[in-house]
Amino acid sequence: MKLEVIDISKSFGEKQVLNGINFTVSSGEALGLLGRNGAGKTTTIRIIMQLFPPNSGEVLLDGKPIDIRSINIGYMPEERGLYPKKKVLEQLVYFAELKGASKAEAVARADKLLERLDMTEYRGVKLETLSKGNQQKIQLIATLMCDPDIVILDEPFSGLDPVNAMLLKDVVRECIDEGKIVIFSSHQMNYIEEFCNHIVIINDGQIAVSGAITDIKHSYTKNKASVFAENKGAVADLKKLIGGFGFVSETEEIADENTAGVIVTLGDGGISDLMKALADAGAPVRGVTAYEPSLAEIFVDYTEAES
Amino acid sequence: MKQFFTVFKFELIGQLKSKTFIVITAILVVGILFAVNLGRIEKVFGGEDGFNFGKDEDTVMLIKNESEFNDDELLATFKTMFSDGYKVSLTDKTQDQLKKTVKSGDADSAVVIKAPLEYTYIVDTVGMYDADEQIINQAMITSYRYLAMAQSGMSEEDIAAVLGATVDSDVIVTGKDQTQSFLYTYIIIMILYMVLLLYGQFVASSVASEKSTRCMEVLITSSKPMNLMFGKVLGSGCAGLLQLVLILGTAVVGFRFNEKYIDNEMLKSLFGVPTSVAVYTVVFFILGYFIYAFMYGAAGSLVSRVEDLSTLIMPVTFLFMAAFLASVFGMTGGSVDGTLYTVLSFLPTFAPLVMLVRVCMGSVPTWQIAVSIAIQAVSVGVLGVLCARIYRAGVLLYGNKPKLEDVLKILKPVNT
Repeated sequence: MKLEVIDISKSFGEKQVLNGINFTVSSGEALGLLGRNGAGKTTTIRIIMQLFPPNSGEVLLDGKPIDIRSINIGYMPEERGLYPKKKVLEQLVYFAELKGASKAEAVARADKLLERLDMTEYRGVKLETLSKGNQQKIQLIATLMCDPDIVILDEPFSGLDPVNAMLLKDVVRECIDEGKIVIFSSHQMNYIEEFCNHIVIINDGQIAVSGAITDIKHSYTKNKASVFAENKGAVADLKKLIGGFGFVSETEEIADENTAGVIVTLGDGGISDLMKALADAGAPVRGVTAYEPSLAEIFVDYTEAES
Repeated sequence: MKQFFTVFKFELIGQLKSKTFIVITAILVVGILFAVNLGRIEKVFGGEDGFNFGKDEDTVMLIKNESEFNDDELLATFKTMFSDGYKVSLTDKTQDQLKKTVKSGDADSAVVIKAPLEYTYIVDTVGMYDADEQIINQAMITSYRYLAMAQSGMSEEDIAAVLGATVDSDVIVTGKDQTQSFLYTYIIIMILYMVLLLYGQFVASSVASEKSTRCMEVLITSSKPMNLMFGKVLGSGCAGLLQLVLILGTAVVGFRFNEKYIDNEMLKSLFGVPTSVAVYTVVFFILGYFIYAFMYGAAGSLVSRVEDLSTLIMPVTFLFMAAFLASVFGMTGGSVDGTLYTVLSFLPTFAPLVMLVRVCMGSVPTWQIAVSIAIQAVSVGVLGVLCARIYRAGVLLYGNKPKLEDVLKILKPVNT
């Protein structure tokens, strides 16, 4: 299966919310939609879910316009969508039945998922008595009740403790391994980095950057290296030394309190020139690596630069 | 269709399992069972006279005769007039003494008869429905006439015949007897009003809570809005109908079962509802329910927070109250076949109640009933479709309360 979002634009009244959003995801892939609050992530997802139509552009599934009610799709809205006053099993079965499952299938599937997410004990209680994190897990179960081919999760990690986040990550990874298409939005970069092959960073309704995470990181890190010092005290001298090399255009101390080192922007030279120069100078260096920014840094960089 | 039944079942079962539904139904059923069995219970536990609610002891009434009436005849007349629950006797006490006696509670009241047409009535408390004074007047007039006739030389038999004369009458009603139908019509309209309001508002709050919890977003991506709206409205409607049938069924069966023990005229007229009226009640209940449930549902889907619900359903409630008031005024005014009333009985929002009143109390040609029902049925269809559209569009209408123009824009069809 291949889901294509082609050139989507959307405005509410005067306000242009999305402008030319494009991306493609195939079965067994996960795509992360990143963006600051209000960037247009949820609007993009809602257009895919056909909650409202785009002003222009289209969403195709295997080359044909998508029809959300005829395909097997699981959707977890940003602001959860469950009945607080109904019992957990009751509503899970209801949502599955709406998707066409028989009651027996639905109950079996619910029990399986409840067990998978350690929620079996809450099977017969009202949803509102559960903690926020546990409600979130029930919401995930509701999303997966129909064994969807496409899973769309809007901010799935918000409100989860680390243990539950881990559990959710495992489940999402299983979905990917089972060959489902997974699209999710988040502003928690560490989760995205862990299992998204592709990301789309949306800023002000436009794509700031998109592609495979490794490619983005490579293109972003060209000609930068991290040089780690023996200890924090040696950093200042090291920086001075490296700054003196002819092929270095810029040096910067690593901002992290717990890491002693310098980030070096190389001018005409390569990383091997830097290593050689450091060795020749006998500098107090623990190691040298190509600098790899975290996704968060890339994100902040792109979204701040644009706005 | 499968989805419709899934929604229908979910809503119906949800409603039937809800505490409010169970408690209200149970209270009403038990209450009705008690009411219709009261006669039987009285006979079983209270003997032939039944229970005597209120005062246990007879009301003591003292009579002081200062007039030319014959003591014995006067006492006999008073005893006939105050037969049940009164102990009437003559006294020699003066008016002042009698005042003290009544005040102290040794007697409940006293009548000092000063002349054949003049008396003083002494009483401690006058009850809300106290008719004693009128009865005394009657007794006095009767005594006076008796005296006058006796003085003019009439025999005792002739006097008794004149005073005891009765009128035989027959009434032939060619249309409807409103004195007969008023009571049950009033009660039927009251019940319809309450049940329709209850279930209409239930639909509104159910939609509003689905919206505020964002369940709607999941529902709408799984199923067509038409299925969701019709399933919900029909599901709650069936629960309402079931409740109505349970309550009225208990009442009818209970009444038939206990008929011979019930001597309350009001209850008898109430259960004397003609079958045709009962059938029309059910028909107009169903039509009225759909008309209002759809409007309430649409209003509910425009809400973003449940707190705003009361404001948004107000227009619908006003419409409904207007229909209710129109039907009540029509009933009390007795002009149920007037021009205004006839027009109202064809307007979909008024018709369920107003036409029912006309059917119960007026003389409506059958074709008018048929046309009114047809108009209502078509309105149900139109309102259902519009409501599903508003529901569909309302999913994403969060934030400010929607303006009228926004709502009108929504009414245009949406493809998704």
